[in-house]
Amino acid sequence: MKLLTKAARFTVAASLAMPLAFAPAFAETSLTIAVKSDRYSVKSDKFTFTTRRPAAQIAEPAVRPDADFNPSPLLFSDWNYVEGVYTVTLQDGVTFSDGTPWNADTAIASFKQYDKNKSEFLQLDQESFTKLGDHQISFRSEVDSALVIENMTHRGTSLFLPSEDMAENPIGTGPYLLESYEPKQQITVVRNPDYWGEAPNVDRMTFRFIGDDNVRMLALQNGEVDVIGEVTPQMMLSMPKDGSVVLHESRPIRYAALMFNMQGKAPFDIASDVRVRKALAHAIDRATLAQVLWDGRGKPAKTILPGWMFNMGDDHAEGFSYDLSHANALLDEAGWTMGADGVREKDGRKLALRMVSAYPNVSTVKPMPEMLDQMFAAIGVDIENIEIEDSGVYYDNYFKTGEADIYLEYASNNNTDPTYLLYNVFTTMSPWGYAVTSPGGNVDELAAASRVAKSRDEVIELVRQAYRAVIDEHVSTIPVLTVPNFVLSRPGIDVKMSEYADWIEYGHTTFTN
Amino acid sequence: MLRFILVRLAAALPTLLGMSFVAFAIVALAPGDPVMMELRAMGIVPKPEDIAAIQAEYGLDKPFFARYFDWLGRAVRFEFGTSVATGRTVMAEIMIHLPATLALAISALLGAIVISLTLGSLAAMAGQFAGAGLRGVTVLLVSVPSFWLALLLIYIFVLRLGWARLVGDGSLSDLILPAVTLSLAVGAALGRMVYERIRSEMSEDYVRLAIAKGLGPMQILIGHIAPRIAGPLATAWANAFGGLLGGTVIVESIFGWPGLGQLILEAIAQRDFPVIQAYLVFMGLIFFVTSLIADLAVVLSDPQLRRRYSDE
Amino acid sequence: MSNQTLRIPALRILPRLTWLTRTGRHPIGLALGIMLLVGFALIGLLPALLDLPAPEHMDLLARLSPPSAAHPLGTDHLGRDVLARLIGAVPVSLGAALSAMVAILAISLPWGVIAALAGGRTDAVMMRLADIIMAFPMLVLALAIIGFMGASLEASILGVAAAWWPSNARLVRALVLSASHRDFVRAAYLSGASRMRVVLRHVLPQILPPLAVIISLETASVLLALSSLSFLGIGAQPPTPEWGAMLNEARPFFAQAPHMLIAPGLAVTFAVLAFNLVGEGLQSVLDKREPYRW
Repeated sequence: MKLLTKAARFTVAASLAMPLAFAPAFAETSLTIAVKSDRYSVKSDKFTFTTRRPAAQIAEPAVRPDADFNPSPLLFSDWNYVEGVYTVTLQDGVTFSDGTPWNADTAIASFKQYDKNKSEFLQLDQESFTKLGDHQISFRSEVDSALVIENMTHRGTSLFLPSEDMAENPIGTGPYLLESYEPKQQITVVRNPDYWGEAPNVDRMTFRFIGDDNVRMLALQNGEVDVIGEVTPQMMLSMPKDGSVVLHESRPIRYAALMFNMQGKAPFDIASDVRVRKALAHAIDRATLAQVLWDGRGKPAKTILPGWMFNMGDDHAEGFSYDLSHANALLDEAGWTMGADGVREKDGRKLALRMVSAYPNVSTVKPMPEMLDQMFAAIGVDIENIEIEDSGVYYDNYFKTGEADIYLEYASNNNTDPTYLLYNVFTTMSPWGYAVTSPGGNVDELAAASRVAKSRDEVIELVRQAYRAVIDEHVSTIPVLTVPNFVLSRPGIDVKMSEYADWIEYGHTTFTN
Repeated sequence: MLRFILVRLAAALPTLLGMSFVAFAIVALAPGDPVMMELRAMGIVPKPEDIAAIQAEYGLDKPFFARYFDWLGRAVRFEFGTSVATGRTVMAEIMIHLPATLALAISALLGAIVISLTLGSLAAMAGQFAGAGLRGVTVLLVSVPSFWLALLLIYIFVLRLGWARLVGDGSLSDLILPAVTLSLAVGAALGRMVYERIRSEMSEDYVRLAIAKGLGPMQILIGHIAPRIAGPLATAWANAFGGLLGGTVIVESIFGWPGLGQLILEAIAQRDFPVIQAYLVFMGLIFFVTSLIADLAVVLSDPQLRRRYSDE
Repeated sequence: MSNQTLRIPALRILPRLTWLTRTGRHPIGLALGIMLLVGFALIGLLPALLDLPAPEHMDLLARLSPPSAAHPLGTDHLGRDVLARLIGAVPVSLGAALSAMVAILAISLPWGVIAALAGGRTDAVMMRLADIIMAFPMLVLALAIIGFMGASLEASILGVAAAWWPSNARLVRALVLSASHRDFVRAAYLSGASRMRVVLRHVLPQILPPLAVIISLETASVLLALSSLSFLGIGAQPPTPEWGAMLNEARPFFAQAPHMLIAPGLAVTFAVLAFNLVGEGLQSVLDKREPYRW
């Protein structure tokens, strides 16, 4: 009985305390944002603390991506690249949060600090930094890359003033200052009163780390947080449609695509017949998928990269219509005849394919696999559906070993280099092991040529041709949908979205009530 | 008594050693490489020499047994290294999550003790029909999946009635729902045991004697039966506590409670090998300590055993 | 003992069952448990009797609809009939629990019997080995094993078996020890019977009734563990209907479609309850002592 009275007392205390706890959430200038689990590393040679989403507010990189995914000024006001040497002009009037001015000396010190990071991908030549003036420096790429400035749009390259206690007191040039950090629980930032750029609207932002998707959604519905930063299709499916939850979206940026095992050995060799791959591509009812998943905000996809990006255009590949009779005809032509149980057969073998979902994990696309399973069943294809939440198991158990026919991936090109995704995911030269799903041949040649092309227009034309070959010619990858970035919030909030998830500026959220 | 503890410690050493080996092997043989996963997730294109350097840093380039003995040498000094994911020491990671789990496990255990004593003793003492009803409730509670119970509680108390918060801030009031969920399940299981114990004591002759002397049910229960079942009950409580520390994974995740269960789920997902290994060793130690306490409780509560060990 | 004549040891419980109904000592629980199990078996074996849509059939226009005449338990987030899935899941969920139990017994029975009979150093080593596994939280151990094998129903059965057998082996060992210390077992040894003969004729028949209790109770907890794993998304793979997996799918929608959550949760609860009731019922049948009352 003691427990009951205790529980009753707690309940009373909790209900009394609740209005107090919620009061600040409705104050105009504070925001509580629910995000996935804390993935910040404070290790000095792998420092990602506050450089990437969600709380990427304290430090800034040298440049930012503009609407067309091209670099635009931030801490660099101007740059040029001549014969391997980058000459940059630094933004004037910028100070770090401790008052130190941003100038040639502190810029070089910050870049050298950044280079201590083992996972850095700017690959700057540390010996090449030269102070040309108070606000002018020059440097070279370690690998003679012409894309260093493009890579600097990545929030992971944010610059900190070197100090001993970066993890406790990071000093950047950004619009916010670190107020408190409770690892794995929450991080709070407050407005930097001396910020050099446009001042944000929100005074104080608290990012709550909540690993479980459902808990994040319920916390929003229950009024415990204002914004959900990372949204899955399940959340959008279960989102109340009465206006109590508001959806904010960017332009489409991510792709959901089926990638075929192009080097499959029996029993994973059925899809080596291009007619089978094409039949599956025509069996997908993309409009229905787009409607059910992502609340109708996904777009049926013809190709991998969204048309607005790099001015690629949506029509550089034809893609696949939803056409069951064509799909059936292709399978008939390939010799797969319909069996009595509704599954096609050839020479006593069932048309059974293993589909593994998904990279990076299945909750980013669920329930797409079950829906595809039913769509393929309609043309007599029996799918063994394997859903994986763990990218290590996905890669090691199924991808690297080639023990599946189809891989469902949900990813995006988060890089301003147009050749980046093509080269790393669609060629046999892929450093990430994508030779498994790459057609090779002309795609490899086009991708290699695009990397050394002289002008950006030429680069982009080669990239277009390569994607066209991947999709229309080899059908090694079937685009399914392109999907925006989403943020959910309570009503009365307008979040400034970005296609770059790291660049969603929660500080510029406006309040309409 | 000291001798008893020392003997137990010595006997546990091989078990602890075997446990450490299993903990190490599970992790070392797991698919997925934390380094590659991290690089890919960050969109970084690795060069072979980078990969080799990082693998050397984590000692992944050495043979299995060499790595195991290296690791064991440090583990006995509680040096489990640094978390691959966060850069903090593994001990710091555990200390971040331990308080929440401890608070949850202790309050759930207290709740479970109250529930089990109430259910068990009432079921044993009550008349035939009331007793059967109480046992029915007990077995029903044992059978309800705790994750489902948790969802029902959230639905009723958070969504419908609005009496509790979901994520909260880790304060005491946020503890109620997860603690109630766990204590109902554990309390029912313990209650079943309390009932069995009391019933078997009630079949003993001394109870007949006490009844013949005209003592009332409460007097018999508290004066005669309770001392005799205290030892086994304490044992069960110690074991339940150990179980609660490691068994709250799902309930913690449903309530967003930032305890060790969240730590291990994330560590498994991120292949944070040092954290997984330390967690498994840590859980083994807890198992060992709680079973030691359980044994001590048996010895202390049994006058004969107590005499035997203090004579030595 | 009159029932010595019965050759099949498990059947020896039967006369006691009749005694039980005669004296009226809590037969309700056992009867209820058996009825529930029989009910599940019938439902699982005869899904064809009911005119239900296929459990995988999607009706995307009727998503998340509440219970109605067409869908007695409503539909899920993909418009699949919840009742059809619930019934389709009976053989999957219960089959998984039973196969996990078989796997557990396949290891724990020989392990426990050999340890108890061998005694001495063999016993110590075998029990230490079991302790090593027992020291880890079962769910976490199963989670790690399954997670690393790649999710599938088979993997989760193996994972649960791997984490569960040691505690079962300990119980078996304790049963065999207490059985082999009985006077007539010693007498059999002394009269020169071979060890094998003593085990088969005297020890095993004695441990079978309590073992039946343990198996029933353990099946209940294995069923709970398996549904927890499916609830975490590692276990039966969609679109296979399975209760834990249905609960996992229902979770995001439980605010607006609680019917998706209630039915499979009740199904798990009743199945677990059935095994618990049977176990407890058997136990009280075997317990011949009668408590003193005032």
